[in-house]
Amino acid sequence: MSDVAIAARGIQVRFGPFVANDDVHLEVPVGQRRVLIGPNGAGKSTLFNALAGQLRPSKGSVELMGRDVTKVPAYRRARMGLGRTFQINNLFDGLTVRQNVEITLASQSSSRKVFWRDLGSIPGIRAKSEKLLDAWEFSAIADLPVADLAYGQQRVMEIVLAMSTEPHVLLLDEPTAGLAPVDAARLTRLVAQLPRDITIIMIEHDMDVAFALADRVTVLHQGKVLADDVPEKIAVDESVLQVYLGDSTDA
Amino acid sequence: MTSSRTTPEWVTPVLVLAAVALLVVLPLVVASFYLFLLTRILILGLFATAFNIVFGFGGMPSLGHAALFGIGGYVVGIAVSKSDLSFPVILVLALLSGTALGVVFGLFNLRARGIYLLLLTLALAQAVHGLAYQQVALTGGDNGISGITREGLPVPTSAPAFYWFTLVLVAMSLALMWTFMRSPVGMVITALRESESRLSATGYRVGGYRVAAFAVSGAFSALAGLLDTYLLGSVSPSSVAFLLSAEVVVFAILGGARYFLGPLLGAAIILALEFYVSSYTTRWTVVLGVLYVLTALFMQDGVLGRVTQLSRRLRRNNVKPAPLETEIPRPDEMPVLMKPDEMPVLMKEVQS
Repeated sequence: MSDVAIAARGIQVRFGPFVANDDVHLEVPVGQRRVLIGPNGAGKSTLFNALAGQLRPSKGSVELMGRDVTKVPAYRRARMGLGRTFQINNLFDGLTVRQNVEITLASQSSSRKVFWRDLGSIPGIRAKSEKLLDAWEFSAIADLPVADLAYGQQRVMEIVLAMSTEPHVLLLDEPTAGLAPVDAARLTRLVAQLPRDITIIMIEHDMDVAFALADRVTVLHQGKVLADDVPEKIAVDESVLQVYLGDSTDA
Repeated sequence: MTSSRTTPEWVTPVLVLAAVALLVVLPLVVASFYLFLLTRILILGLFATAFNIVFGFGGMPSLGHAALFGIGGYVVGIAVSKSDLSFPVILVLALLSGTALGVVFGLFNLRARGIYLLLLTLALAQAVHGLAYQQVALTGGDNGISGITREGLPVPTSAPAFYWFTLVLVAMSLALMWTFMRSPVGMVITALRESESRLSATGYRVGGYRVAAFAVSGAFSALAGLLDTYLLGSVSPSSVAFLLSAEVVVFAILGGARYFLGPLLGAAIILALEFYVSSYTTRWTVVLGVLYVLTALFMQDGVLGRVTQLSRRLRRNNVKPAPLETEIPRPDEMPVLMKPDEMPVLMKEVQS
């Protein structure tokens, strides 16, 4: 069924003796907004890396737009319409905001092989980057190196770059990580306003944010799926509360 | 950016034109030995610029670039001593062998990063050095190949003519590399330095660009090697030796590896300094060492990095800087309701 945008089927990821993901099943239908929660070390980012192709799972398979992509490298998954952001800012720091966007845009066509003319002079690229920078209100700082931007602006750049490739599936790895509450709230609103036809999986620590955004919530704990349900049910799930608030018998 | 902070648009072209004009008329005014030095600066400057595609832009530290330089030299040496191929053919052969060896370097180093890359490139270059040393019938072994004349060149054999010939080839090469580095492929090579994981998550097959960087770098390095052999009239294992690989790293770092013209500047500074110091003492390498330590301590971004920093500071003193830091607005300034067409409001607020 191609109604499933992205799925993990029994994924296991091991680092030596340590099992970071164990028998993880996740199935996200097209257009759904899934939030992934779980305490530190639950294996959320590992699962992202397996889904996006940065890691190859030792067991299980990954499915993207109805295709088994377990052995497909990250760059091919990206070309199939998978975009992602990183938990720790991962941008082309020494390059300008515009260059960051235009390099990302060029990846989407045969322009990525052009070596005889300016990146900015390639038909459509400059117009597209102007439009994007304008829409995300980066125009005034387009020619600054990304390293000179404020941290919050860099967090937004992560999303801008991921969105530049017009992905069908977007993986957001804790977009609000390290932001002050006010900025985090604003970034969350940005995410909420992304087009509804994009399938989104988002890792989030803040339960309120998670429940506000999610169509469905998946809880990871110690590498395994602890719960997978609509937010209202998750909010009252005994086992989830136990993981987040501690075992009542411990207290 | 306020307009008063940027220099007028005509300044750069005028400066470049003036520099080119100066370089063109130099043979008419300087003594012949200086002309040799100038030609060498152009040639090694070309080599350093080619090296820097991999090093400063691609972020891949190579300690084996002498092999890519020397192969061009040996193509000339072998072709001139064993055959009567015409110059255009020799030129094409040199470019092709440089590119091919560059591809080999790139492929061998697909998985190596940092210090491992350094060691692997060094090992490859030592293998090439070994070949040059041992294939005596072809390369003349330790003695190399001497007596290479400039008669095959499409220019008169005089020193000024060769200087102009070199100037034209180097200028064309720099222009080509400049264009290349601004193209999508060149920009992706620069982005390799910044983040390979981001590139592959964006849809770039990173390995291909690493190999491309070495291939282009190899072609222009071999061209520099070719010119150097015609200049010296000989080629020997020192053209593929470790010392040259190390020297070109110093050229790039001293001049400024983040800048396109940094390595050329570094080559000019070091060669000119070597020339003057050598007339006072034989301990040139000690001076070079001290220079390198001073660069590492006080100019991590090289001479050009320092210059840029100083000029930025000067401008900052003249004009008040635009505020860049995030200012977190008070809660009462926050918008309560948001329409979809106001989508990314974040930036506006962050900037205000």
